[in-house]
Amino acid sequence: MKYLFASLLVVLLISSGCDPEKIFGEKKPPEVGEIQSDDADLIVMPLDTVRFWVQATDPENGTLSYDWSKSGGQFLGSVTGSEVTWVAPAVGGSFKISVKVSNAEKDVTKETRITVQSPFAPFVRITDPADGFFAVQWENVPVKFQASHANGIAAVELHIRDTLVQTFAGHPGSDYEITWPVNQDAGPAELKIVAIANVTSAAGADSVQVTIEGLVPGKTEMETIREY
Amino acid sequence: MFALLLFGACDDIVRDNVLDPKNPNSFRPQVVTVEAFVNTGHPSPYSGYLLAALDSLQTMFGARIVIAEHHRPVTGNTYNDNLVLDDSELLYDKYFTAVNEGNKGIPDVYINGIGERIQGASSVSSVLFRLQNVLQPLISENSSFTIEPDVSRSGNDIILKSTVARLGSDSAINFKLRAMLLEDIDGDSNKRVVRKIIYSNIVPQLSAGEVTSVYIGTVSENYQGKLTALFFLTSQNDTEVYQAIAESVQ
Repeated sequence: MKYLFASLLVVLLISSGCDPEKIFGEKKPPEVGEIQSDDADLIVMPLDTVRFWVQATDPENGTLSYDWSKSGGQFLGSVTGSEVTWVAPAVGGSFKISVKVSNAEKDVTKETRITVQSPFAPFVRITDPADGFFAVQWENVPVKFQASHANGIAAVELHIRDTLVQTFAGHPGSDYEITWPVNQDAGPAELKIVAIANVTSAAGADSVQVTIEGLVPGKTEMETIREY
Repeated sequence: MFALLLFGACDDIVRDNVLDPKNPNSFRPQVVTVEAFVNTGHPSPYSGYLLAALDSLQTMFGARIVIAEHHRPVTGNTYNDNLVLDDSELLYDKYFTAVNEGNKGIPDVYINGIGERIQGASSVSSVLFRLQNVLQPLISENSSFTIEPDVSRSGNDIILKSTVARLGSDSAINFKLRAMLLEDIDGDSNKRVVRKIIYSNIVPQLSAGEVTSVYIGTVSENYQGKLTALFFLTSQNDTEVYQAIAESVQ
C-alpha cells in the first residue's frame, strides 16, 4: 500500500511537470479594483494634496501588502497601506501613480494618471522667418517654430496683423512647421504664433515683423496659349 | 651697350596689364544686369514702387549696372499696358521656367539672368532695400569677358554688333549675345522700356585671349524716344548673363 501511494505521487509529479500548483490547486492573485482618488477628474493644481486608494481582497485569505509608487510629486506618510496621500509637484505635467498589491504568492499592479496644471503660458519661439523677412504675396511661406507646455499644446494659431489666419492642432514634441498663405495686403505686418495649452487653455505667443511685398499675378501660360 | 640691349632688354614684354586679354590674369569688372518685369497699365502701385527704386539704384551704382524695363501682361487682360512685348514675355518664361519657383507676377526682377530674383514690392524703400542687398556683393565681382558695343545707323536701320574678348586663362564655349533696344518713352517712369530683343547666333568657342566680332542683328523699326542699346553676353539658353554694357543709339 505504501509503495502504491508513492508510485501514484511519482506519476502525478511527472504528468504535472513538477508544478505543485497543478497538483495542489493554482494560487490566485489578489483581486484589486481600480485606483480611486478624492479628485474625481484627476486634474489638480501644483502642490495640491490628493488621496488615492484601492480596494483589494485576497482569495487565498492571506494578508495583502501594498507598495505605492509615483512618477512625480511626493507621498506623505506610509506607502504600504491601501491608501496614500500624494502631494502634487510644483511643476505641471502628467504623473503616474501606481500600486502593487501582493499576497503570499502573487501580485497585481494598478495605475492611474493625474494631471497637474502648469500655471505658466506655453513657450513659443519662431525660428523662421526671421525679423525683417520679405514675403511675396500669393506665395506659401513655411513658418517654423517651437511650442511647448507642461500640459502639452492643444492648438497653435497663425495671426497676421492680429487677424487669425489658421489654426493647427498641437502634437507631441515641440517642433512645428506650418504654411502661411500670403494672401494679405502688401505692407509691414506682424506675424504672430499663439500656442494654447491643454487643460489650462493658457496662451503663449511669439511674433516677428515681416513685410508683405505686393504682386499682381502675371498672365499664366494657359492664358497666353488661349490668346494665340 | 648694344650687346646689353640685345641680350637683356629684348625679351617679350611682360603681359601684366589686367585689361590685356592676352594676360592670363586679365579680367574686367562685371556689369550687373537688372531686368525688371512690370506692368504700368495696372492700377496697383507695385510696379511704380519698383521703377522708382530702379532710378535710385542707377544713381547709386552708375555704370556698374544696366537696367531694363520689360512690360508684361497680367492676369485677365483687364488692364492693358500698351508697352507689353511678346519677346519680353518669352524671355520671362525662360527665366521663370529655369528658376521654377514662386508665381508669375509683376513686379519681378531678375539679376544677371536668373542669378538672383526679387519679386513684389510694397514701397519704394522696401524694394530698394532688397535690391541693394542683392546688388552690393555682385558689383564687386569680375568677369572673364569684355564686350565693346558697335551700334551704327543706316537710314532707318540700327545695326547692332559687338566685339567680344575672352579674358583670363580659360576658353569659353557656346555663348551668345543679346541686344535689347530700350526707349525712353516719357522721361519719367517708362524711361528704359524694352522695345526690341534680338539674339546673335551661338558662338561655339572663344579661346583665352581671343577677340572676335559678333553681328547680332539689324532693327528696322522707327522709335520716337531716345534709344539705348543694351548688350548682354549670355549662356546658350539665355538664362545666365556673364557681362553687359549699355550704349546710346545716336
